[in-house]
Amino acid sequence: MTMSRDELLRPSLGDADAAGAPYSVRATFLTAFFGGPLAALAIIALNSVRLRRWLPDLPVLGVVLVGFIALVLALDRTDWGGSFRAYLYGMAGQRALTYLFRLIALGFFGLGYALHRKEQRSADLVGMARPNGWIAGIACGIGGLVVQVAFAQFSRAGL
Amino acid sequence: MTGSLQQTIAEIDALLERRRTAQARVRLQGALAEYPNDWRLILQASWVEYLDGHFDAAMAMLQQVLAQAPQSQPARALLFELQLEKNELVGAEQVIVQLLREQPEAAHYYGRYAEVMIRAMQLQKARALCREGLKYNADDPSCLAADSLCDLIERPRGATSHSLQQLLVYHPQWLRTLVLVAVTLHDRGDYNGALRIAQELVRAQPDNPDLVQLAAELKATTHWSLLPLWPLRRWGWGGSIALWLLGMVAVHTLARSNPVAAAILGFCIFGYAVYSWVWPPILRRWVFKV
Repeated sequence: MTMSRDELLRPSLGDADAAGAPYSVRATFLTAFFGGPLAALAIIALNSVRLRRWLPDLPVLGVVLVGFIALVLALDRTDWGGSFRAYLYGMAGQRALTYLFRLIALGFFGLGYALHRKEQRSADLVGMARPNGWIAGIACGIGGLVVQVAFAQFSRAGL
Repeated sequence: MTGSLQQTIAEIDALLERRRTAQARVRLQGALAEYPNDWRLILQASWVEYLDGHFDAAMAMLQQVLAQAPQSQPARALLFELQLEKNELVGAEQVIVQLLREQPEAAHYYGRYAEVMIRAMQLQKARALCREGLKYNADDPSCLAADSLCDLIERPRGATSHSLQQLLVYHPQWLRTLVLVAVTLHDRGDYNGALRIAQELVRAQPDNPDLVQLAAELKATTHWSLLPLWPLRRWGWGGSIALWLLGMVAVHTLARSNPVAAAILGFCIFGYAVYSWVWPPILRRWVFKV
């Protein structure tokens, strides 16, 4: 990127533009591992907001969220989903779906890492103070669980 | 009288350049007793506090200086450094932009501005500032250090950085050069090499808490009790995910033929995961105390 001196000497930070440090990679990983796919997406979205880059991240996260919901609906309501579940149960037992969702959550973690790798590295290298990952991680985990339970209830009621 | 004051100021400046803050404090005590309102001496006292990490005290003194000499460039340069330390990036940017408008060919200020942009995670502008600064002074340490930092952030871990090579050629003894080399070695997996550099740095500046922390963390990283964590260190979070996947597949496969062995394997993997989370921070705290 070539910038003239005048452009370079134009302040680019307003009060609203200064990015905060993202939640650490460890906090994101643990939230994804224990909280599931929705919790993973929630903490990645929180990082996007903290980094003031929610606009470029929004399409990616939106597509991923829609894809995940479509997968859950397909697993629950289509013939293909039924046979796929049966295949998984046969291969990995009754907890197969839990493993599948955890794997998807870890995939989301990988996506978040790819999206925010430079920012995470910057925060590490310049020693930025990280926000408390416990509070956000637990909140995202509980939020994800509530949505999951609500979906299961709707599903059972046939809505 | 004035000649003597000038000489004292020059001597204290020389001490500050070598970070000999204890000696500078002694000299300043005497000088300030004689000239309590001289803003240059108060500015030097503020630098001493800054170098010793007492940022609030430094800022309080600096306010006195700025009240007397609001246009002083060294005072505003220190104001910038203090704002950067406190992570007040918006204020720091305003100060450094003003300094650069007054001295548009001061390469050092471009490097410092680039540091603000790195902290604000605007790496493109940081790079552009480094390039602009290096036009005016091709071996300016601040610009080269900021550009090396951009390389460390943007490039794959352990990749070669041209700016870091330049720093090693032109400023091999500079503290930041050596810290950047230590970080690069760490990224390449040469933890012992990084530790040796960090230990040398601590010997040179035993009172610098950042260096002590760096050395302690590297010492903990190279401790023999962390050897089993090598795969996780080598492959990072990808390694953790692969370990979980492999462990899960292995436990399930084994469970069909030998449930007891599967249970033992499961406990071993669980124990390894707990050890990888719990032991490194405990070890780090222990190394800090030692």
